[in-house]
Amino acid sequence: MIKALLRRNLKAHYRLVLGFTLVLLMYFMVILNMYDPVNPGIMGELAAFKLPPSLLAAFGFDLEATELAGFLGGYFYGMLMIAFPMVLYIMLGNKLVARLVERGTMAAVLAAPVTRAQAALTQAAFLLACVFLQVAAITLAGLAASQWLFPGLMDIPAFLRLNLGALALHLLMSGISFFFSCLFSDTGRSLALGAGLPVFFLLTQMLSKTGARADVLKYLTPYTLFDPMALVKGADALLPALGLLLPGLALYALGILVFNRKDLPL
Amino acid sequence: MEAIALNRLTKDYGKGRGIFDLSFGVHAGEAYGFIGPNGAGKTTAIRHLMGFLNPDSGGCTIRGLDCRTRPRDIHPHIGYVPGEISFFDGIRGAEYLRFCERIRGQGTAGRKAELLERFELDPSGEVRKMSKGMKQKLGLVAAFLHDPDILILDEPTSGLDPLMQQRFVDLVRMEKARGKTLLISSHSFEEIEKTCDRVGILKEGRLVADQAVLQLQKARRRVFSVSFATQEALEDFLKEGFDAVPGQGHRADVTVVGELAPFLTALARHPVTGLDVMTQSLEEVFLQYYGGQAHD
Repeated sequence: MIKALLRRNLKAHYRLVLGFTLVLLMYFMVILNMYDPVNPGIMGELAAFKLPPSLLAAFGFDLEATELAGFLGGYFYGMLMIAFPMVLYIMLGNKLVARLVERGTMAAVLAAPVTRAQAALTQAAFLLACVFLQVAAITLAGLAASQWLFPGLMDIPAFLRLNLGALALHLLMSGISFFFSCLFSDTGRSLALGAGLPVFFLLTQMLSKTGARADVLKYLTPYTLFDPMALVKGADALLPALGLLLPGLALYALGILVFNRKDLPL
Repeated sequence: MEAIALNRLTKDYGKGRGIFDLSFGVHAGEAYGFIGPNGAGKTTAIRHLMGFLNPDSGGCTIRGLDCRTRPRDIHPHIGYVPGEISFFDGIRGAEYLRFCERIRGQGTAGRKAELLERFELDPSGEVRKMSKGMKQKLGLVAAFLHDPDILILDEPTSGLDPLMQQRFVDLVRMEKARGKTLLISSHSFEEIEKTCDRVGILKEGRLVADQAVLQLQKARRRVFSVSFATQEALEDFLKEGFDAVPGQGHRADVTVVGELAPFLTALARHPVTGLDVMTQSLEEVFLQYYGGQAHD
């Protein structure tokens, strides 16, 4: 780990990271506030739009969820908790390696007495810290705010399972962006795959939920393994969700390995 | 032992681009000039020395250590100016210099102040708003900051005005006097002549000459355009036996190799009204250096 580089990352990206974290927290609080323990079946705000159930399902909204953790699982973890941090990881992943190489700034790092592995590991650690920050912020805010707004109504183990699953999914999403940022020396190709693939997976997952015939699409996206409603219902869904962890971490490791070997136009 | 050694270094980018079978060494305490037109492979060779590229075959070492695998042991002794210097987004000059000190754990305040003064650089502003020359100066200060033993400078004076180029030349001479080893790439002969002991000329990825600067100066060919007062004066001059091509208006283009004295004394015997040194393209200069060497 290179302390000077870590410090530079922090200085360069803290606004972006904190901004995304705060907006995600804000969304979370808005959704949490929409929960109505007396009439949880159909949320007035959404029902008023008279949207077809299949469209709502595509966005992960499950109108049957009645209990607080399940409500959050349907309305927050189905879409917002995936798509929003994904954008952060795409931007950050691309900036941390490919952009520095493309612009030539990486030369200032690698001309110093450090190894490439150290440099790549530092960037990976920074991205991982940002991933943990997103999930930790939501977990802590969720526990505190539900205790305050709806005391006793939160199924805490279910909520923790949700967040553990989300963490695994986030590690995979950020791992994809990081890997392609390491693989390519230009931001064009790094973004084409580092953003294209996570977005494709998300869109496929959304489509797969729109109806019986589209159901086969779920085999085309690893995001299927993260099933918020199942995670709320029981611990059985934890194993498939944690299955995302392994390819996620493998992509990080592979990224460092590739960066260590490739030609750098610096 | 050579401070820097390239051993049959080859990197083939296809279509004749790259470097091929490149071998040369730079002794400790020597200043080596690395000359070639754009695209000759200077930067490719330098990137190998920094350990940024994997050779197709052959290799290179600095202080006897392999450049690709031992950057941690080599780089404490290296100062590097890339061909195209780039800085972190939104960083200030002073912040960048602090970053360089921190990541290296090297550098002293006195040295930094001295370098900033030499290049008349105020690093307090944002790099984004600096002129190309200022950025180049910042890159130079960063490279010399930790007082390295070996300096690898890829076209270090690009963007500098003549005064600052002279300051750079002075700095290089001073560092050389302090026993530092330098590898400087350039497409300007004049700059290399002023600073280096030895020159390697690179053409299409191959080393076509590797000679002491003094020797090259001896073999250097210059073309002068001489105007004479009358046609007879021109014809008289042509009988002197120089390599001269007569042109319009009593003019002649005279090619002189090495020593200028015989040519100048010959000119003095004739009524000369004008004398110009012909500007030559880089390619011509290279070819002539190469040709001059072949005549020896």
